[in-house]
Amino acid sequence: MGYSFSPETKEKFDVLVTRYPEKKAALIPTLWLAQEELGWLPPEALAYCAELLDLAPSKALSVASFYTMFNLKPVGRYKIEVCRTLSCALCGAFEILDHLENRLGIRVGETTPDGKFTLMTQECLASCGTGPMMQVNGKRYFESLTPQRVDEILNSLA
Amino acid sequence: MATFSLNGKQVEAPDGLNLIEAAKLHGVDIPHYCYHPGLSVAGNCRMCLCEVEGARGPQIACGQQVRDGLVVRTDTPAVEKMRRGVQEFLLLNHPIDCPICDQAGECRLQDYYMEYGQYDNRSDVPKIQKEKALDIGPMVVLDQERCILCTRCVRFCEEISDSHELVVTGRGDTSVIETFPGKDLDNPYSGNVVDICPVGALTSKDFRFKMRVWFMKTAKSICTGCSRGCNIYMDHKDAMVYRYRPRENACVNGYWMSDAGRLSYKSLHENRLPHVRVRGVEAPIGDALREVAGLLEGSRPPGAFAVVGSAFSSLEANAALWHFAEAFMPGASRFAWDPTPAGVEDSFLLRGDKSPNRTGVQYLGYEMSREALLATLRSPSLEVVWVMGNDLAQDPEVADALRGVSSVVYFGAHDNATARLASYVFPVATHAEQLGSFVNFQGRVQRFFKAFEAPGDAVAEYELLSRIGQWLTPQFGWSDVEDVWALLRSWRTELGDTSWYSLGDAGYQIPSFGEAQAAPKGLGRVEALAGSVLR
Amino acid sequence: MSFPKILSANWGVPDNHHINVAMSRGQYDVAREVLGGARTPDDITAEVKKSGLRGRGGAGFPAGMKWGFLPKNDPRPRYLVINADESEPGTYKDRRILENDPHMLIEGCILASYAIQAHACYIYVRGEFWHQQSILRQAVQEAYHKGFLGKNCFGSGYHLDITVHSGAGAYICGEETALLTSLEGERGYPRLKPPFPATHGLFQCPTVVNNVETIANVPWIVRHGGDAYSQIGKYVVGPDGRPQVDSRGTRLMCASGAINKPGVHEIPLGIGLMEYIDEYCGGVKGELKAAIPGGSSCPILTADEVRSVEMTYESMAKHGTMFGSGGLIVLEQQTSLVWVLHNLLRFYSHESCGQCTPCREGTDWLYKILGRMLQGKGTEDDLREVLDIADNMEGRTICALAAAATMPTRSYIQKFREEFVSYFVKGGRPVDRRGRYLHPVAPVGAAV
Repeated sequence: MGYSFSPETKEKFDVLVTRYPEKKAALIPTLWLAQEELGWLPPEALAYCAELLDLAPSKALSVASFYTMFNLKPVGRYKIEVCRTLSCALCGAFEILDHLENRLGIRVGETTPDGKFTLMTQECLASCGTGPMMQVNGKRYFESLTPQRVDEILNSLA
Repeated sequence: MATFSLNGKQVEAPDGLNLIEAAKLHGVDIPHYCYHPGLSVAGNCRMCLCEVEGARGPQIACGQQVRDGLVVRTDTPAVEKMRRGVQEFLLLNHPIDCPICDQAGECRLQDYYMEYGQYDNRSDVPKIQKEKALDIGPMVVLDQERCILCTRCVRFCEEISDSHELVVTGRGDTSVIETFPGKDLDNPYSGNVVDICPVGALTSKDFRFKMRVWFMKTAKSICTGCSRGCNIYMDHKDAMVYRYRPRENACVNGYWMSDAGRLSYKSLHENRLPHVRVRGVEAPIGDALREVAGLLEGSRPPGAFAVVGSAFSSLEANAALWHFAEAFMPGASRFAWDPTPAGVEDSFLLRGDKSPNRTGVQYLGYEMSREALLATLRSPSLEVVWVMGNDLAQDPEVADALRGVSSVVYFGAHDNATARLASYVFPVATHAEQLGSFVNFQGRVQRFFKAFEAPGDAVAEYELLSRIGQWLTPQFGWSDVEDVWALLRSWRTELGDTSWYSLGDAGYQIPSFGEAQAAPKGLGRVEALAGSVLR
Repeated sequence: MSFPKILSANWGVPDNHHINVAMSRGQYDVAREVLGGARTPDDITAEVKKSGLRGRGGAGFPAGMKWGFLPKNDPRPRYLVINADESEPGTYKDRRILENDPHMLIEGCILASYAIQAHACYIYVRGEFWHQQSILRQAVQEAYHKGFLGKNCFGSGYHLDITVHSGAGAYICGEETALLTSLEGERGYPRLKPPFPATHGLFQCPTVVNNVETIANVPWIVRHGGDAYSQIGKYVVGPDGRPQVDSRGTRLMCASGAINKPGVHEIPLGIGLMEYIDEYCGGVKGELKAAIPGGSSCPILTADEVRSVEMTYESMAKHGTMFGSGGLIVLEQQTSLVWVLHNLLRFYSHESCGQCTPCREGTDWLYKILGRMLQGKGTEDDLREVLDIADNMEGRTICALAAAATMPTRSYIQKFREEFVSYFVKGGRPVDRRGRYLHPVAPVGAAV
């Protein structure tokens, strides 16, 4: 086994697993903990999470691959996801996407050669009134984007 | 029992039985892909949609339980349109590579296309590309493009083999069946996923590209890989067996069989003995029969004879040998020990006893002790030993002892150490080449049927014994298996008025063994419900 | 129309997500009283039934009635599950509750759990709501520290644990059975029904699944009474004594698209949709062409229909659409509806769980055909084909995602057929990156 949680993460795991009457229910939160540590979910991490919960590693793979937020391949330090569903699209999501592609010199689905940015599209992230928007690393929302605002944000990401 | 209306007819079926099974009882086939009676209901293929009165919209038959008053229609134009629709969806991203697909000829996509094809092809959008010819384990090859994502294989790995190798990954129409990196589909039952795959996504490494299924014929038979005696279909062509497939028997193997058993057909054709040999030299069968009959003529001192039956030969062969010994070998000892070591046993189907008929030879009364056999073989008074289908000489001590006996008569299908040291070797038919039965470990008599003719001089053991016996007593012998069964009936009153031909495809439980020992867990979920139906 | 703001009254109050601020205006008072013995669980359910509160997640099922479906005298544990997997395109209201008033939701969870006698409540929040989850987790922690949650809620002896559970990116998990499957640590596959969650829900136990907004209403209803709640909105009894209109209370509307002031607004049910657009959303930006009233799954309304429809479940139904999750998307004349439908079909194709054949294959097929149409490669046959494929999908699957794709599809083509037909020329009709025709067009007529 090539991977295990840090003591702090293990502590979090030990608490969360008590929140469910069936261990298996803790799988998605456990995968989150691993992704939090590694930035993505390599097979070793899937296998480790599965083992913690007495599951087959294939179960972890099957579940993780269903959800778009789990990275089964490495991503850049900043994973930028632009919502392209209707409300955002109507107010310029594709313009923002074009801008990001030009600015970063990569296409959707690619990572910059320095490993800093990965650009993706995403479906509705519930920012319909504040589009266009993008999410960085599955956490921060940046809303009401304009190309200028995008530039500022990219510059602020170290 | 519940009374319900099926296509306008009032019919009966066990309460709670699912509609696919219930309809089948009344001759109505509801097309389906994902439903399998041995697995949980997934309800994902949507091929079995039918109209249920009072329901909100069409219902899947696999998820519909029969109850009193249920009104179902499976024959309306609307239902037909649903089926055509599903069929079209399934083919949308299917490669339609039937000419090079091993499943061709036994593919549900093909079968149902005849009835529910759209014919007017409008599925002209680019197909989604997935992986092909993936080597996913020792037995199975996966083609993700042919897969219709019915998840039968996934459910098998979860519910039956409990090994969890196959899972669905991804989402939507890019979902695929996959294994975890480095965890192949490698469990003792992995071959079953090939049988239950309704399309050509999972194919058998062993069978791939060897034979078109429509060229083969099929015989109902029994797997000889262990004493479970899984019921099988033996698929063959030109006197060659190409594969075994499990045949449903709720009391023995459910819908499944082990990989070891599945591949055990290979030994059928290895080292076959086609011709009679006398003292190591091929000889005309007539002469040889007469010569061995001569061994039994005249009077011999007590202890001159021994016979060795076999847990690898049929119940009928062993019964005939027993009777033959009684008739012509006064005082003969009768053994059925064999040197086959015990093998892997598990809590599902695999039995440690790797012979198909040990219970049968024990039932007949053969002595199973190696020590007693050795003592007899070493006895100076022993002159003739008659060995049937049993490679005794694999055991060096037994081989030594055999060499000391002046006449060793061997009946067997395969050349082996015992055949090589025997004075008389008579080839016999394998279980692919004759009718007969084995008694499995539960005490269940299970019949196998002749698939093709035996090669060369080989015939059934009872036939050979008949012909030898007739040299001594003209009326001796049996004309067919039913005759041998009559002999058994005369010995065992518990067999009552049974007849071989009416024993049934699910086998016959010998009363003195009691009720069938508990069938292993996980034979299939539906069997408890549908027990009466499956028989 | 004057009405009390039930859900959004305290939005914008500084630090409103902190428990002390929330308590300073009485949050948790009702729960304390109720658990202290003032009301029985059945009382609470009865009050909610009386209020006429309908589920605000999309289906609009009466909340109190849903609670009443749990089997009585069943020894199994019961669960309350809150659906905060808000992901219907056009909808972003639950998010505002989580951000602005998490304690209102938590108090609602306490009351609802007590009503159904659940001792565990899971709040399933979509994974992308990382920020909202942090606020909610913090709020739950505060409630534990105050003794409002845990082994002995409010010192009453009642035991309730609330767990915030994060999803990980899957629209389908907003479907209640898929949500339960996901919560159990599986792929978010919807389940065959029956059995229904009321008898075999989370961990195969009796379960109520309610939307965030639905539950956030409960403290107000219990405090002010179901009658007070049912005074708001529109309720009309027909001559047969059965309600003809049963759209009571307020609800959160989310506006986006071609309007001047997008946002989430609490409105009393029953007002006109146009009135809402004009008074709350600053009016249409440009010339009104059509609107999607309740999230992208709802059939589209023409401009005329937008002007005549009322914001009630019934009026929406009468106009062939649904109130859904309250996500209004307004479309103006220059926007291509072929482009809009193409966009939405990509969404449904992306979000189909892949379990049922018709949805797995059909959503993507429709998307691809629409792509062809956009390029001007469509034909009349394609339109027929799209409708037939939709027919083969709708009602043929385990859950309603297929219908969520096909119902709008059908409505777009039926109501704006001319526009689709106008695409059957070489190269189609060019649009900009926002789906607006490059060559301005005269207004497209309404229903053909």
